Amino acid sequence: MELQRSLPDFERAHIALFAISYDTVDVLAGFAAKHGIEYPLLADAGSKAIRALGLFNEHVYAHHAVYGIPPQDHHWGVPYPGSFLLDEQGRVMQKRFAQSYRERETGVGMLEQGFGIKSAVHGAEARAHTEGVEIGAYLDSTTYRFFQRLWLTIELTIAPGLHVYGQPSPAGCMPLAIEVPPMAGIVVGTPRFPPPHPYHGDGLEGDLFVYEGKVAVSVPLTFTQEGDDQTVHVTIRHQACSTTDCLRPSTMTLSLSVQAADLIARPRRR
Amino acid sequence: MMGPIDFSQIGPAVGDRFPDGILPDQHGHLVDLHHARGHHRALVLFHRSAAW
Repeated sequence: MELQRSLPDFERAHIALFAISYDTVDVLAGFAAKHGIEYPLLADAGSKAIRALGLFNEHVYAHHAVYGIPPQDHHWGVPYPGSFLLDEQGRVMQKRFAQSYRERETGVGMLEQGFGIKSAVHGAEARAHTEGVEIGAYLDSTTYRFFQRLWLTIELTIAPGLHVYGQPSPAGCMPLAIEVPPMAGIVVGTPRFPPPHPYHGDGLEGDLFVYEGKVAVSVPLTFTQEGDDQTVHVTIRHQACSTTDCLRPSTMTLSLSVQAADLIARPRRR
Repeated sequence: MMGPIDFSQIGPAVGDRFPDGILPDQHGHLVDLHHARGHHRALVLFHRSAAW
């Protein structure tokens, strides 16, 4: 259902979308009708293709036991849940699979993190401005579901003529750092930084590693509890310099709200 | 206690052509995956079930 929301993004980017499960055509027809699904849901009834592809999950009972769930007949036959990103020649560019079968990404996450394409439907953005640097932060979505992985994206737009230090930074200069404090019910993953590029500072020993222009850092957040609405705080530290001077180090905290999707569907009495 | 799964060893490998396949869609029409995607990139998602 949630992937349907990203379908215009995928169509705009000319990326074909396919979902495969062991359901029958009838089950998929009902699901598609109920949720207005317009991309292909492919029926691998009997799990023949799943098996032929080597994706048959033989450990499905053990995976459920990790969560205290007893084996159930309908578990048998499922694939490992995940996705393949194919290039224009149909070759596998990337595989996105999680260790826990429960964890699932959003369409926005797969588009932005997998294909590097900006989504038009990601969550609302929080913005801040420091001297020489604009900062924006957003989540894949303004709502979360149980065990969903949402990516927190932080974008810096650095004014021309300035650069921000990456790691390793020269002594006394603050490198770009992103911190998300621990939150109950959310597993915060390691931030993914793009590689900085070498910059030969005038009169300075050795290479510096810097970012210029636009930089995007992503932090994976996995929502492991069904709970309440949450607020995600992110602290961005950086120091911007020109070839001659450095501005003061900056520390900025942005906050983003994310609502529990199931609370919206079935509001609890408080 | 199960160890972590090495997904690089499971299913089609990065760099390999995704295998050809024909499956029916929700309308009962047969879909040839590579033919349907044309010359475009694709996302092929495997999920557990639409029913549960």
